[in-house]
Amino acid sequence: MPSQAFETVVSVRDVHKSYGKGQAKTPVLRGVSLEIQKGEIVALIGQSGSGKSTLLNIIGSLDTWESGQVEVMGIDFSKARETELAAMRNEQIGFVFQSFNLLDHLTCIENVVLPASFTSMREKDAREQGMEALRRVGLEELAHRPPGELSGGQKQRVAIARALYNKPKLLLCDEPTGNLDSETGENVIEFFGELNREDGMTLLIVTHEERLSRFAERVVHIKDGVIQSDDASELHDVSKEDSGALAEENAS
Amino acid sequence: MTSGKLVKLVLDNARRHRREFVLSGFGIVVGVAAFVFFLALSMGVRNKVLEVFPLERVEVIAPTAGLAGADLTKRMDESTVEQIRNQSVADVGAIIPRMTVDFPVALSGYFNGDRMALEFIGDGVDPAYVREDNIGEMFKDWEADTDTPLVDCQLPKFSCEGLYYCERSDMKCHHRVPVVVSRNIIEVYNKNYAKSHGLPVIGEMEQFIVQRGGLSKMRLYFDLGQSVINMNQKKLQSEPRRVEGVLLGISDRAIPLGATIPMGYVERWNREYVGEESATAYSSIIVELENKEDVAPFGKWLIEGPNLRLEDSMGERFASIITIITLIFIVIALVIVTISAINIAHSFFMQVSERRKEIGLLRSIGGTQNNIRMLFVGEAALLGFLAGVVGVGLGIGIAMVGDWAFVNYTADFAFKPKTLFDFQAWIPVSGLGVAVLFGMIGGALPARKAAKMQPAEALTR
Repeated sequence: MPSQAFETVVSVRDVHKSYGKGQAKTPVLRGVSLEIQKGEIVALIGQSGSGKSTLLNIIGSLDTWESGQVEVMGIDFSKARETELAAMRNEQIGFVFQSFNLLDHLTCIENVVLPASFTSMREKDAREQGMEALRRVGLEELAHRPPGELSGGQKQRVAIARALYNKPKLLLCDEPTGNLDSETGENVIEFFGELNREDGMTLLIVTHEERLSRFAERVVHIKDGVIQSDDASELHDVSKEDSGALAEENAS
Repeated sequence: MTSGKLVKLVLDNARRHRREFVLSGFGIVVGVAAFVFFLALSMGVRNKVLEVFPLERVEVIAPTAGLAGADLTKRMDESTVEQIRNQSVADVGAIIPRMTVDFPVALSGYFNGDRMALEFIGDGVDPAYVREDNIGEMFKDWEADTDTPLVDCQLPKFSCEGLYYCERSDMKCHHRVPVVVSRNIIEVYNKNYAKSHGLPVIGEMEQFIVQRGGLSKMRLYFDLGQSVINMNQKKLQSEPRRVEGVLLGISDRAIPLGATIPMGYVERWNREYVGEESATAYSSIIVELENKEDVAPFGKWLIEGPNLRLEDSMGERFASIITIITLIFIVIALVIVTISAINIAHSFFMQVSERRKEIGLLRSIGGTQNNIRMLFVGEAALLGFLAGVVGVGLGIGIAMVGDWAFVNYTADFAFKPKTLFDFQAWIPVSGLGVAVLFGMIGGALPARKAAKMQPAEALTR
């Protein structure tokens, strides 16, 4: 039953990580566990240095950890090969960064189709798919302009188009509205909601903004490398009770 | 990642870093230019030298040795030729014994209205060997034919028909002694002698002979037993007499400096003036080897076997000097490109630091460590390639300027070539190869650093 196996998109269990060595060693994650189900929007909230970005990077296979288990979309990171993880980032995970990370020497469309560089897709097909992604974020008319000429909000939409390029199942966003004014940020947040509703995309958004947390259906607070609160615990309990009740009903 | 996409990424980046590219590629340009320039120069000069002094034509001589005034020099004769023919260390083509005239002979002739005389330096060779070189039937020992009766000289002027002259000792018409010379003699005459003496330059030999009025005008005089230099001479067995000759033309098989005549004449003259001993001993034996590589083993066999040796080949001597000089310049060129590779490495290390975010991003959208490595190595290879193209172009350009200056601003000398360079296809190709290779060497370590970078860390800084 593969569909059920993929219900749990992210599974992090008792993950520890620290930076530095010897005396200067500072722990960032101290036994973090987190499960994200398909179709969830999760806001990971914490102050800077709380370990929230590190956790996001570990889930995105961009960072290493010391102990614990990380499994994303059925792939056990500790057992996966480097190429396997790269392919997963290419096809199944989209990243949205605070600083957009667009390459200024390329045009918008070239930035968007960059993920196709690591596949064998034909140039023409890649462009078509890239234009579709730009259309999705409403910027197709700016396709051939360099990102330097765009506003912050437009840049972030190009970056999102790039993240959406391969229609990922999981979108990992690190302070996506951090460099945007509140109105533009609002638009981006709305767009995230749309992606979740229409495409059933799972979103994990790292932020320190309450605004984003109001929008998320599940908020996880992290502090000093430890998860302080997670809305889902109750939710999960509810679902357990529900399924329990259901089982009882079925049994009876 | 397909190679086409890699190339596109590489080209995009190269366009972005044009200035760094030009700066760090400069050393490769200079190094490769020097590399192709000196290789082509050495090939050009070497070819010319080996054209004048072919390596595979060697000269066997007997080492001179003497003890208490007694001449112990080993004699070479027909048995030596047999020995060389039967040895098995080298594939041998023609074996041509030579016999030197063992007593003084003055050679004179009229040229441009003046009588010119010089000491005859010459060898007798088997005429069949020279005839193979399109010299024609006239190069032969005419005196060997004893069946055809000789005609009496016509009185009162003691004249004879055509290419015959009147031999005073028997008052009969004898055929003139056929003489051939090497192209080298004409070259030396044209470039050195004609110029300093205001004499006409000889172009095509055939034309020259026609201009002078045919072979009957190409007369030479051998004064046997007489010397131009007039040194104290050993007693000769015969009185001096004059023999007439005819210059037939040029042969590649003539001795390089001197005149070449059929051996029969030399044998008879030596017998007449010096004695039997001298009429049967060869002065040297030319051996044409099938392969250049056989020269060394053949030379070794000569020393160990018949106790003879090879005359130092001018070609070999020049070729090894050229090889050494070339090697020195190639080492210099390689040092330049090595320094350039270090320069490239430095520049790329800086780029890796500057492009951390880009590297992190590429990893986040599916780039593997290997992709990143290939990206940087590819950029370095492209840099090397472009610098190599410019370098090869520069090298050829400098060579062309050099040739132009050489042709126009240096004095004409014997064997002066039209070009000093020989740009064989492998030279620019290996120049490009060196450029790409050293570019990649320079890019390898920075590329490794970029590939090993932790994507999360790269993205956050």
